[in-house]
Amino acid sequence: MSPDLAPLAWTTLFAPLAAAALAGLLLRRRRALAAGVSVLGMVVGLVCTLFLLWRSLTAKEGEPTGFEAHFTWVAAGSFEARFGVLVDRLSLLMALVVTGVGTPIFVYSIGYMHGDEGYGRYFACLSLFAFSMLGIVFSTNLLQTFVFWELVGLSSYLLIGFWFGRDSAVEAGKKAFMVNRVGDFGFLCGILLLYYAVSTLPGFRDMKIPDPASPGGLDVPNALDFGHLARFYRDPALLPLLGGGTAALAAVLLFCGAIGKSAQFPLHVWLPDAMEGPTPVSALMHAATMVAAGVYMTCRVFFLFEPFPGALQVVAWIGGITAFLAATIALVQTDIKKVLAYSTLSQLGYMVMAIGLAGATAGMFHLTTHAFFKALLFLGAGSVIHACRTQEITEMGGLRKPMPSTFWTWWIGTAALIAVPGTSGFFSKDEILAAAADPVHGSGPLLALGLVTAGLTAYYMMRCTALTFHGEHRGHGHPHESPAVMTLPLWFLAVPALFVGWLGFPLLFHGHPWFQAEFNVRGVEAQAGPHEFHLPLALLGTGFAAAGGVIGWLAFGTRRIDAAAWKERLLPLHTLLARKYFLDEFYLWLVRVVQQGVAEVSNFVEQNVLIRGVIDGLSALVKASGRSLRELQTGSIHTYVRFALAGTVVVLAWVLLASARGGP
Amino acid sequence: MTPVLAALPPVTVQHYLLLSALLFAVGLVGVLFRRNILIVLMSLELMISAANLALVAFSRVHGNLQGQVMVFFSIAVAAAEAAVALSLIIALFRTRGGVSVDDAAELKG
Repeated sequence: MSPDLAPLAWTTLFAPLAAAALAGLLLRRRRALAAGVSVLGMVVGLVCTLFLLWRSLTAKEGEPTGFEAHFTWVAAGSFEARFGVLVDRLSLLMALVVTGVGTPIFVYSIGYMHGDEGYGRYFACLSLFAFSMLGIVFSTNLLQTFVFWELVGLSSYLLIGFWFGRDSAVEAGKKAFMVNRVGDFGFLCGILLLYYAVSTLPGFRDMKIPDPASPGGLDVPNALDFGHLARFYRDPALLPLLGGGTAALAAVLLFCGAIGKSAQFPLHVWLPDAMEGPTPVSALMHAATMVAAGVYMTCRVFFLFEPFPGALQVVAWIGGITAFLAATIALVQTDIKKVLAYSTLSQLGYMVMAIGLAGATAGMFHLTTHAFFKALLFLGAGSVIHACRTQEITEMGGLRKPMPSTFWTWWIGTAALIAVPGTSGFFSKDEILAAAADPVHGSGPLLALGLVTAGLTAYYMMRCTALTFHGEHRGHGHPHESPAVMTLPLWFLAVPALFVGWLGFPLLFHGHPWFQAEFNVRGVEAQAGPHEFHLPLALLGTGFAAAGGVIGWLAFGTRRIDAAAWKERLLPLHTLLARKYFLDEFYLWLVRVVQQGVAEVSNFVEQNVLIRGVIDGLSALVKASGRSLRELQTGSIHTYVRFALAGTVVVLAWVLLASARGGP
Repeated sequence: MTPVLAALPPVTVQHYLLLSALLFAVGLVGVLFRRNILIVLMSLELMISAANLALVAFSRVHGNLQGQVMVFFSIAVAAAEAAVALSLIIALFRTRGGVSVDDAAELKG
């Protein structure tokens, strides 16, 4: 693969931006045209990505499987910021997820948003999101990643608050934006710390890095560039120059960004509220792609974590705790989108845990499979909501008959999510469990958490499915199947939801590195490990899932178990889960009491010390001196002449005295 | 040369400079203490003439023409200055009805 293909990557990146500009600026009132342009932008991106992926996978032995193209964006003294596209299998896989899941969701939106007033605005925002997300995916350096990171945050805000007439949507948008700000602050600190620590090292500045643009030439080492940093980190002679504490801290700070964007504990609170946005948005951004940006970014800079077991431990435990907590909350939710939202949190926790257990391959693999089946589930939920006009699963039921397409695709997504053997989720979840069971990097408690979470996942999905599609209809009206423009994308996503996992099955493709999170640009070969398949673990995981699923089915499908009675028996626990561990209340308390207290004290200090003391004092001094000096300005010309005369005399006397003393 | 004049001590550069200083002092006193702007202006002209006189005296002492050339420039500038000053005085007289410096003393702090 050569950099000659760079225009394709640039096209993938900028086609959605062009679509966003057209749809948002020119075609706001031309509804069909705006939607068409947006879908076209996505399709162009998908086609280019598929072509690039094909070229990368068919690269001959010894030929690079990726390339990089960039230009200088900012040059100020020794500081240089670049803007470019980094094409390797990791970025192509992620781009495939974004465009491959994005295209059916764009099409689905045509039907779902039919008749909405902000149709053009919706497609403009969606295209802007696709551009921002692809910017992160193809980013060559930390600064570019950060810029697009914030752009993704912006488009997320715009789409969560899309129905800005609803107070809850406005609140949810603000919450998402502000909670992300906490994580992004850490992210920015991490970038600055890393840049400062690395760029000041003479060992880094003297590195000999071949320039991809001119064969034989050397590139200037840039402490923001992924490729340069990776070279530095992977050089056993250079890495010890960097303080281990600083480097580990920088890695953890960068991970803070991922905690915010990928909604990990304790910054996960924004994601369930983000379900206020239109359902296709939830499917695309808050389930499949945007929330995976943190996972992707952590994989991309995995080399920063790799040498520091402490940093990896932090990542693994944050992921494990998120996976478990979110799954327990999902057990009792009654809003179909909330169930899926907490399920997303839980699965993102799995991915992050896998990365922390040195299984970046497993993390990216699960990201890919999850993107397809979770997008499918969300679109199914959207179809149900479209038909029932409610999101409460207690008011649904019996939708199996009137909505066959939605029903069957929902079951496919559910099967993949609870990891029924043979579906895509089965293979990726097995790899994560394998990473947790690894004798070197693994951890017993995390393996236990992962297994229990697998059981919980099966339970809440069975509960949700049984209440939504089986039994008798408990709501009003007669729900009917959604139009083809909505059901076709469901089937389009159902295929990869079932089969994409087989691509990572090592027995089938002989460990072909399809989903390997590798970083192999400019000769930095570092693979996070091949795919593996562990039969005992697979059986164990399936056992847990089956147990959870059977209990869920008995409680809500056949009603052999009296769920209401159990709820009464475990009421305190149920309340704790239903109130989401009181974390929202805790944050509110934090803001109302702690932050407000700090603000009051700061206000007092500002009002009394700063304003009354320093600022008022300075102005009084200026006023007083002005008042006394104005007496000199008499307006009489004689006064001025006298001053001039006195000045002349003084200067003359000084010069004469100096010359008398043998001066100049 | 008449006998009376011959009896006096010869006129040297010190005499010219003394005269110049006297003229300058007279002009300065006029500028400092007279209220009538016309007088102030005339006193200023006197101060310029004193300076011109000193320059011419130095020119004589050094035996070159530089001082005299300087004086021509000075006279030209003085003439221009007088024209501007007089027109200002006329304007002042028209607006204030007088030519005393106290008529234009509003610009004060």
